[in-house]
Amino acid sequence: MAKRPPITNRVKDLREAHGQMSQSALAKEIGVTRQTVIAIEQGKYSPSLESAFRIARVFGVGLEDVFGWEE
Amino acid sequence: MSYWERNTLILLAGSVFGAVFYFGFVIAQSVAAGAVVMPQLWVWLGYIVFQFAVSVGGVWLLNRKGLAEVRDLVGGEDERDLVIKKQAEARQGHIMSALILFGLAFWFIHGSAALLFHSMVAALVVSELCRGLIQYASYSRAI
Repeated sequence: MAKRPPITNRVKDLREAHGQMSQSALAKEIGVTRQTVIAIEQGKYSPSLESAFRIARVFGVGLEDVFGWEE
Repeated sequence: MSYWERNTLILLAGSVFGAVFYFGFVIAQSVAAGAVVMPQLWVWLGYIVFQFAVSVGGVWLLNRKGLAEVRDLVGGEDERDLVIKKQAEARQGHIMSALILFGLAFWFIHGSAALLFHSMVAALVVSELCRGLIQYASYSRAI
C-alpha cells in the first residue's frame, strides 16, 4: 500500500461548519468528482495547488487554514 | 464506485474475455497437436472482436446511466482520475517493454515464430490487465 502523503487537511470540518455542505456540492464548486473530495478528506489524495486554492476560497479562509504538514 | 472505476472494470473484463478466448484456443490446439500451433487469423481477429465487443458494449451501457456524474468535467476526468490513469499507463509501458524483451528472447532460445507471435499477444494482454488492475487498485489507496 502506498504511503500516505504527510499533508493533513480540515476539509471535512470546514464543510460541516459551512452549513453542512455536501461532498457533492464541494466537488462541483472546485471541479472534481465526489470521490476525489472523499479521497482528499481521508488523506488519500493531495489536491493540486489550483484545487487547494479553490477549496480555501469556497470556505473563505487561507490555504494554511485548510491544509497542514504533519512531521 | 465512481464512473472511472466502473469503466476500468469493464475494460478489464474485455481484456479477460479476449485473453480467455485467444489463449483458450491456442492452448487447446497446442495440447492436441503436441506443439505450439501457428497463429491463425480467425483466432486473432476473434480476440480483437471479442475484446472490442465486451469493452464497447459495456462502456455504452455504463454511459447510459453513469455519464452524468462526469459530464461537467473537462474530458470527463478530474485531476485525480488523470493522475491515476497516467501512473497506471506508465507502469503498463514498463511491464509491456519487459514482456516484449522476454518474448523476443524466446526467439533465440526456441526459434519458433509461433511462440514469438503468441508471446507478443501475451505481452499486450498481460500489460493491459496489469494497467487495469493498477488503475482500479489506485482508486482505493493513497496516491
